[in-house]
Amino acid sequence: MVEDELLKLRFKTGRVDALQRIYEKYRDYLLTLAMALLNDAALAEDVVHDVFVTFAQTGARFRLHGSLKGYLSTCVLNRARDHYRARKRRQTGCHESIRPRPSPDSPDGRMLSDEQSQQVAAALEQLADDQREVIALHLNAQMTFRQIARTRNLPLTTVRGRYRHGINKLRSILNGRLRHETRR
Amino acid sequence: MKPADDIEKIVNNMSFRAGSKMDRAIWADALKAQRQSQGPQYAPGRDRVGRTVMAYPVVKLALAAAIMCAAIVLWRTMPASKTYALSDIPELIGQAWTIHIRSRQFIAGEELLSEYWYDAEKGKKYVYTEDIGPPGQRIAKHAIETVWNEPFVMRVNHRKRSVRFQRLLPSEQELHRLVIRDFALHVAFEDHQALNQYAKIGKERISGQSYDVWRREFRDTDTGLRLEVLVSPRTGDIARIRRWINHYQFEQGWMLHTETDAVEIDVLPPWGIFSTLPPAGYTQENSKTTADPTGVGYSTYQHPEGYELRVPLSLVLEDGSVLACWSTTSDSVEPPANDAYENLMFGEALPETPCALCGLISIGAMKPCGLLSAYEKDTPMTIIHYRGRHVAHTYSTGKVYEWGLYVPQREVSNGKPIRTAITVVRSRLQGSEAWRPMLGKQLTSLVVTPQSFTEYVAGAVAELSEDGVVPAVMAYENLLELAKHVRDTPGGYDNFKDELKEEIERSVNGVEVTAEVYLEPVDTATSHETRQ
Repeated sequence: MVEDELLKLRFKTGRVDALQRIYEKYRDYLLTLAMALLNDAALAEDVVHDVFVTFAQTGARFRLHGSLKGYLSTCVLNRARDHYRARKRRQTGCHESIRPRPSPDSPDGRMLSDEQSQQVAAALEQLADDQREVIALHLNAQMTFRQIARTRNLPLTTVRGRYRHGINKLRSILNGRLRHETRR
Repeated sequence: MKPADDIEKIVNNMSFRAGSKMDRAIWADALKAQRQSQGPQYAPGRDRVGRTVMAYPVVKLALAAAIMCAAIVLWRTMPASKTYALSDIPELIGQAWTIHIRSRQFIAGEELLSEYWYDAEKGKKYVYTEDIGPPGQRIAKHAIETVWNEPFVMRVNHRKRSVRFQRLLPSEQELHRLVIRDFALHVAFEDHQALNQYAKIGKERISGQSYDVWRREFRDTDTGLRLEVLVSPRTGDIARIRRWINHYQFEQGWMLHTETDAVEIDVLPPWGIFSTLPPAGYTQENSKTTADPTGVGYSTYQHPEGYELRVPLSLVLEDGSVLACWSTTSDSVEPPANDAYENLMFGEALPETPCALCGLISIGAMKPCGLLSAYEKDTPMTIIHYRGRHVAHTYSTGKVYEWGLYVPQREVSNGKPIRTAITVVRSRLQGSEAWRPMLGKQLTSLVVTPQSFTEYVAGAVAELSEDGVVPAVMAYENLLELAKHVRDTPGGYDNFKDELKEEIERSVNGVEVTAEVYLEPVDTATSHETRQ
């Protein structure tokens, strides 16, 4: 936390080493969060790219009293929301079939992950958006339910409810997938 | 996959990592965005005033009209977007955060790679060079890696599979940060101070991009040297730097000697490239705690009998005098006898070690250009001699460090944070009485204030002496007084000047200099060579 406070100060003064440290520290973490929310390697890269570029542009105007990690996580969430809302509009409005997603472990090595992470991301995608958000923010971004409720402007009970329903559904999806894999 | 009972743990363990391509792409754009954002500073309180004023619809309309008028005026008067020339490159590199240079050299049928990474902000440097050894020694191609990550310098010899550490004193770390971009420029161009003397001779396309070809040529009776740089006029990117050699007597035409295919600015260096952890299985010749102090501004002088002259510190005082700490060391032969340092008096002559830094000179017309002409002809040859005087000596871990003051014949000040001069090294072979002064490599020194001088000297003495106590004679004011005394002594510089006269003439007039070093520039902007 102390390191983040120093990084924020240095970043405000235009220090490139501060930006670099923030980037190195949170790059993979934000990418994982974006994948949990979107399950699309290209979109996740776009989201993380946009978050860092926008963040870098703020420079001296950057003002933040809270956690840097929480701030960047929220930026990822907001951009991810734009993307999956747009995706939903395309699917319902134009009857467009879901386009095949490039494998995260693409041959050009743009993104690296293990098989389990890919399966979990695929399972998360099957949840409702609001459930997926709460799970990703709580488990991947390590935000408390109270923090999520505050940032999303929701009652605490709603956040807890979404989380509980989401986890139950995720458990059944993953258990079903596991049974299916065992039969094969 | 594990049973999904502990579902929270499984989601929590989910991990996606950026591959190197993604990593570079995002970082490069973020870095660019940060640099572009560093325009006019944010004015606190402006928001509130702005919002209040903008609450009136009339103001909004007026502002919209004003913006449109300004846009029209700008559109009519604005010059076309900037076109980059070769002479713009030093400025681009001078502002870079990171610099990457990669070259191939073609020697004796071998292709030798060299690669450089600079993190100019943090003072880190990575150098990879391949070599085949001197002609006739039949040494197979081998590589050396050097990593500068303050305060340590790690040199990895892949042929010997060994690692040796050196360390930088605080003042040299500061100096390193000041000169690191100049080092990069020098590695890329060698004659970076003369980039405005290149001629644009045409265009060349590489990977679908168009680049201007800039050329400069040198020629004497035996050898020709042609330098070409391909610069994007749109972005200032450098696609290639090529050096061609023509040995006229062999009638082989122009032969490619070196090609640089990467001069990249602000790209993310590979992860861990500045690490000073020795490679596994390599022998450590010393450790970080026993690392030898080394300097940034001077490499080393190698004496034929195995001694090395090193300068781990050099500081410039306000009158232009240079306090330099140097040592004559050797791993293979006995170190110089300590009696060379006995009976030395403050302000008197320097010790007579097998090789000694006996003075400095600066030549006004000198343009350090690597392989190219070392001296510009037809320019006034303003020479300033710096005479060396003994200040003190310190002992540490079996080595003796001489602290000498090098006093210019007149006060020198140019307002720059660093100062360069040519070293005058005096060396002697065993059994020989003749001491020969030679012009050596450049010494780059850090200009200091009285306060920083005290801090740097105290820090250095703590490392370069057994008791860590700064000798009283090494006080800033004391040294200025000594310098004044040396300057004011009638005829004090006469002997030194006489000794060096012949050596300077030999170097400047090219008697001992190879053809490569002293070539005449030729006009390259001939129409028949223009490639469109």
